[in-house]
Amino acid sequence: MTIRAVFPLLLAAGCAFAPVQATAQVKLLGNVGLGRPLRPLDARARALGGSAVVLHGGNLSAVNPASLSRIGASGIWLSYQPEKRTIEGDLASGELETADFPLFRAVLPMSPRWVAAASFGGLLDRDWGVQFTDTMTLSTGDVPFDERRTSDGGISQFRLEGGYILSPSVTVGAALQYYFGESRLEITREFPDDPFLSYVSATALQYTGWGLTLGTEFQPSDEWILGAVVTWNSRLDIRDDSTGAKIDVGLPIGVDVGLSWLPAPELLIALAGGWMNWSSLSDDLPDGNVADSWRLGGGIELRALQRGTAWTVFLRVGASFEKYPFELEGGAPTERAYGLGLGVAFFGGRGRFDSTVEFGGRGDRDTNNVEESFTRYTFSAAVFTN
Amino acid sequence: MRRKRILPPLTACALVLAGCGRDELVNVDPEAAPGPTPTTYESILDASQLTGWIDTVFGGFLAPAALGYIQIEDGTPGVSFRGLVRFESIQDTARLLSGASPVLRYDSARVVISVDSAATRLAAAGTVLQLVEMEQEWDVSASWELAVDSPGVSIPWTGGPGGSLGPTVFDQDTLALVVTDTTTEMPDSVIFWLDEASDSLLKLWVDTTQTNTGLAVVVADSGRVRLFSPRLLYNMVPETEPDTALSTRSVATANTFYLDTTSISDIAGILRVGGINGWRVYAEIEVPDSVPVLGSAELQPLRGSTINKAELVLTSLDPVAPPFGAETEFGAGVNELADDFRVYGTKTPLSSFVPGSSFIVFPDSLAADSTLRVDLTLEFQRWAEQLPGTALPLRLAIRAIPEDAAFGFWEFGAVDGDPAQAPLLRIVFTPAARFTIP
Repeated sequence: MTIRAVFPLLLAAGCAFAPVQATAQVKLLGNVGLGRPLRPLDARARALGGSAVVLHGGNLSAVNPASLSRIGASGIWLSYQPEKRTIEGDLASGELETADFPLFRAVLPMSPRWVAAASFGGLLDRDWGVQFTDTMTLSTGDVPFDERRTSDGGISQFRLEGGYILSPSVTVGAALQYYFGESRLEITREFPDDPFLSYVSATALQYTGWGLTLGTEFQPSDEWILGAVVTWNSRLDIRDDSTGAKIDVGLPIGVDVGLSWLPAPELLIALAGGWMNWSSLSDDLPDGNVADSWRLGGGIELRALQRGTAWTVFLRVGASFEKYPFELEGGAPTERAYGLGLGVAFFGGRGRFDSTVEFGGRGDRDTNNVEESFTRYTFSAAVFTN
Repeated sequence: MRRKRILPPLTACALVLAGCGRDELVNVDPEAAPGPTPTTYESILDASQLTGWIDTVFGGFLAPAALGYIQIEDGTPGVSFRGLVRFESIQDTARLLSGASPVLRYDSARVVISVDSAATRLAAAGTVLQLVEMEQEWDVSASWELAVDSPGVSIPWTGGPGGSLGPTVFDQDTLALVVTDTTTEMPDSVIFWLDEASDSLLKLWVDTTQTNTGLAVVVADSGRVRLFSPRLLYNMVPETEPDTALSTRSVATANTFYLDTTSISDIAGILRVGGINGWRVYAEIEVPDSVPVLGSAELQPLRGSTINKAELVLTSLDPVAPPFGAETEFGAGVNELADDFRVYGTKTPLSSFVPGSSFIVFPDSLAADSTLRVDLTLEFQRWAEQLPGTALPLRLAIRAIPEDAAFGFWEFGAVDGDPAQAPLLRIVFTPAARFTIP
């Protein structure tokens, strides 16, 4: 049958060939709300259940600026975090491998009492990708196609920080955060069996915003450190690079508290908890469903081996529990993880290398229709000048 | 400004630091895939649905003399092809060991022409070829009406269209499909012995004061023969050694063929591609920014969309009888036209070839299926990427490629012909996705 013969039949039949119309889009971590929260932590803090508000022996994570004042030497450090994720769900499944650089930080003591620092760190991960195969019906017959929808990028923070020793037992700190980043959204549709031109449609979303963090540490004795951190944020401006459309959404206020305890010279116990009022974004986001996030974690660090000041080996174990803000089907998902860590300090403390492996899961298939298990590695290296 | 300068490096750092590498994708159910769902539309458009569509046919892009062969045919009403051959570089001096000698006489002269048996169609009872003297001077631009048809010079045949044929030099015996003369070691050739005319003809061709009107090769009865590489083989008898015969040869200094095209139908309302005339379809198509699509009453934006497929659907007309109509498949394709063909006609320069537009004209399948699709996807994609108001109409030339390989042409319906056979545009396209923030 020729096309001329088919043409009126198609018109008469009102033949529709839109390939797919989403009925209930699957929700994955990273593609709901503003993304998946990230924290600028080093490997040591990750092994201790995310305890990064206060730590004996140098708290390198970019959480509490007051901790800077206890770092008496200039130095730089970097964290690298590869992760393997296995996603299982009613409508989605697959294996993912991701890699982040959650923290890069440089410190410079300005005087015996105060220390300045600058750092880059993660804030929200918007990295996700899905694929599927489907068929569209044209006048010439069915045409199969493969489609990929991806988002690459996220929101980072650049921090200018300072820590100050008020008294031997009290330190304070402040950090100014500049939030920035881009996520590139792309849809690719390919036609493996037909000489059709592939379809690619893409845009980039740009993010900018500001935040202020104030922190303090209170050390009533050598064995104890207590700390608290409060963060205020501006609204986050989001601009679509293709259309120029803009929106802005509020970013939450956050509070973190923590403690570090040395029950014995070789043993450290750390605990931390945090809360952020993400639910304040509910009115700003099209799909609403945002809940406050909170997290709780802790861990134990054992100084296992030491050879003078040449090198020291630490063993760590910890666990964390975190409730994410952006809801999947059935509510906000949680992350559960336990970690094992190994750290080495060498050259009299002028160098540090820490590694952590965490095993855990996110979401619940029964509740959220999707869950993922993950193995997250974190490696940190630090160098100090004296 | 300062903020803009700091943004790129910060963004790069962001992509490195918080932006992640991702090696795999999650498999999802198509109906549950997150993100916007782009819709692919199909549109089938005739000329009335476009802003403009003009097409026409031009011919005359091929000269038989440039084809490298001689096609002769007769016996079918309205079909007459004649070959023309001229030999001019005849030796008039024999070079012997004793020195040069004028030629006393020529004998055993014969014209030998190779046969392209694949393109030859002999009559059932065989085909008789004749070698005939021409009575009028001609050149390789000769056509059925004109002995000379070169720029600025038009000399008609004095004896009327086709010219006057002189005495028959040689009647070739019934031609078998493959001629092999093993004695001369020239397989697949036809040999015209000049016999007693050898001496007089060659002396005439040697004499530069005389007009060399050359020879015509014609089919005496019916059949079609394609010939190439005409050469003249002859013996020279020197004056100083009359008992000696020296064999030598000359190649034709001019050869061509000409044909009576009066039987080719008018081109009104038809499109024609290929053929001995090098027929080309020139078309100008103006596509609106938004077009109607199948399954929807709304116009959809074509401009700015991804053109997944765009094709010109040509409806085949009834096959034209050979030799003018194509008997065998030939290649064709589309070039852009550099200018308005309504102004410059056949002199409109061709521009770049449209990638992906190559196609094969299969006479057998066209006769059965009746449509041929010319892929213009990349041409339309380029059009769709241009800003509204900046795009010129699509100006296209459809032609055989290579043009000299398609002896016969094929015909399709034109816009100004039978509406049922008019060309259509079929476009499959997908508009840009509407991403949501955030």
